[in-house]
Amino acid sequence: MKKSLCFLLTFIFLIFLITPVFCFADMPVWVISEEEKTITDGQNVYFLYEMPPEIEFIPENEISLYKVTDNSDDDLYRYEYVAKINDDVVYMHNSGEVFVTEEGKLQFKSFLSGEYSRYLYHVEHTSVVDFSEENFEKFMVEENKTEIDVTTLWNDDIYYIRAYDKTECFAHKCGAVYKLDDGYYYVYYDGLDNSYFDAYGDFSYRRGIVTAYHLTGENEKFVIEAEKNNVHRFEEYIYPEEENFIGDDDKTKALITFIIIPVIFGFIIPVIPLIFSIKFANSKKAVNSKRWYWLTILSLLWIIVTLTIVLLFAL
Amino acid sequence: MMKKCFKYDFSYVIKTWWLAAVSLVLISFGAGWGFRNITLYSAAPNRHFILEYGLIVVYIIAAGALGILTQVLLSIRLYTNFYSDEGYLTFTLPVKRSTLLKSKVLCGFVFELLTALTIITSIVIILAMVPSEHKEYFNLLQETICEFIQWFILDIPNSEKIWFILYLFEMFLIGILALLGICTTLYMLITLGATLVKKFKIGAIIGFIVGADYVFSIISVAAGISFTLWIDAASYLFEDKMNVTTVFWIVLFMFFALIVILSTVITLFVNITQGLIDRKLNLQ
Repeated sequence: MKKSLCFLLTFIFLIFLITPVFCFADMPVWVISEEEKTITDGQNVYFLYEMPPEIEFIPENEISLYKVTDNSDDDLYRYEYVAKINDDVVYMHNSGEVFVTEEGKLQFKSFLSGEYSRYLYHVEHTSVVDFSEENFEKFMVEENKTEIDVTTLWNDDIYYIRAYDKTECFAHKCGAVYKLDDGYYYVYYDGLDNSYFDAYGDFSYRRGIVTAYHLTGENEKFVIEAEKNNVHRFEEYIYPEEENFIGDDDKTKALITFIIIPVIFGFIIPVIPLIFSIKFANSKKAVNSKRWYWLTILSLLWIIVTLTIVLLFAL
Repeated sequence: MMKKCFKYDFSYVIKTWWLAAVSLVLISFGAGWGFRNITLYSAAPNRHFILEYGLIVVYIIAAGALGILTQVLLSIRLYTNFYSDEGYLTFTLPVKRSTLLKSKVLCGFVFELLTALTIITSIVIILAMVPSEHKEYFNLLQETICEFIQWFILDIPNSEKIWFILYLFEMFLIGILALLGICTTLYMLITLGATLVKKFKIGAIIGFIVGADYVFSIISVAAGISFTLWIDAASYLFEDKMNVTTVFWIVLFMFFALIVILSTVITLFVNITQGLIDRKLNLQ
């Protein structure tokens, strides 16, 4: 009796300890090196890439984020997320750092040297329309060229023209269309010198005169039409479910967890005091068998309550 | 006889315990003053709060010390009364052995409760001395009470109030059982050390207590993880079927399950303790 009880106890204790291990869903985890210069998904290694400050991470599509670990003993998860843009480019969501392969480096080199696609982008409505090379040239009509005080440009109706890289995730503002009282004005940022920008590469509205192009006729119509036919392209970031140990579409694992834990905690564990209490209550040596009956009742109640909770969930 | 046994057990512990309890209450005034100064003058330049922080640290140590002292006094009382030479006299008294143990358990529970109440009183004193950051309240105590009442009256819909009252009642019972659980566990471990080991009984008792501490820690961590996993799995499987009333019932039964589990463990420990005492006296 004693041996079998010891065996039962050890068995329960082992199941009890290892159960949680099987219930964790396989979460894809990226590993960052200690000096934070490289990151890997287990297949490719990506190296830190210093991006110019004016380049924004502004993806045009949903981005899935993954958790990052640095495998150090002190903290398992760094509470950082990484977005895999493509096989060659990786973006650290929290710090804003970019990691690339050699191929990724070449991609950015061509992007920064002017190989990009442009989109017109309303500041409030987060909508974009293609802004082709043709539009770009049409906008800069010499006879509509004018000088404008930059302080008058800042308002709620600004259409930025963003130049996107091949991945459509990284961009810089190459120009903007401002809606003023007397119509639309186009400012070509890429044609201006450094004095018009702050340290982060953003156009500065503090003071000064800037060259702008008044949009008329077809060009004005293009902007109005763009606003009407805008396409909402950017949705949201998809974070991995932090609290969920059970992965998506993992019904079997969830069902096993749902059954095995009440079986251990609600049926097997209370059986131990139940066996004890029945054995001692009926023992001839027992001085006071009444106190053991209390334990029998409570152990049975424990099992009944567990069953009730399970049924409340399931029914 | 129960009353007399309890009287002697109580008087043994109280003659040392009250000094520590009064000291904690007095220290809480100092800690309250410290918190008050830190709150009022935190923005003052070049002001260091060495004395204030010192008093707060002393208060934390004193609160912990009161808890430890209670356990130590209860342990000494049980050990000397039952398992030292005095035990030969104790068990010759015309009192049932179960009454002797019941008296000890009751005394343990009363002092655990008094310790908890003293610590709560000291916290109340500190809260009463710290000014609130909101102008409508005089101090943090008033703010805490008013916020709780407001939360209960305004934030909880009338139809759901009854559930929260039931939960509070269950939580109160869990608290009472937890205090009872602490002293019954302590008595069982002392009895295990004193009855199962022939030599170095004190060492064995300390070993049992430290070992039990490790075991309980492992069990509570594993239970916590398992519970989280189970809730996660249950929500994943039955999220669509759930309605508010079902959730309230589930929470109610979960608290009730905790009450039943604690009651079972306490009964088991008391029975083991009583069984070991009977075994020691060669009556089994």
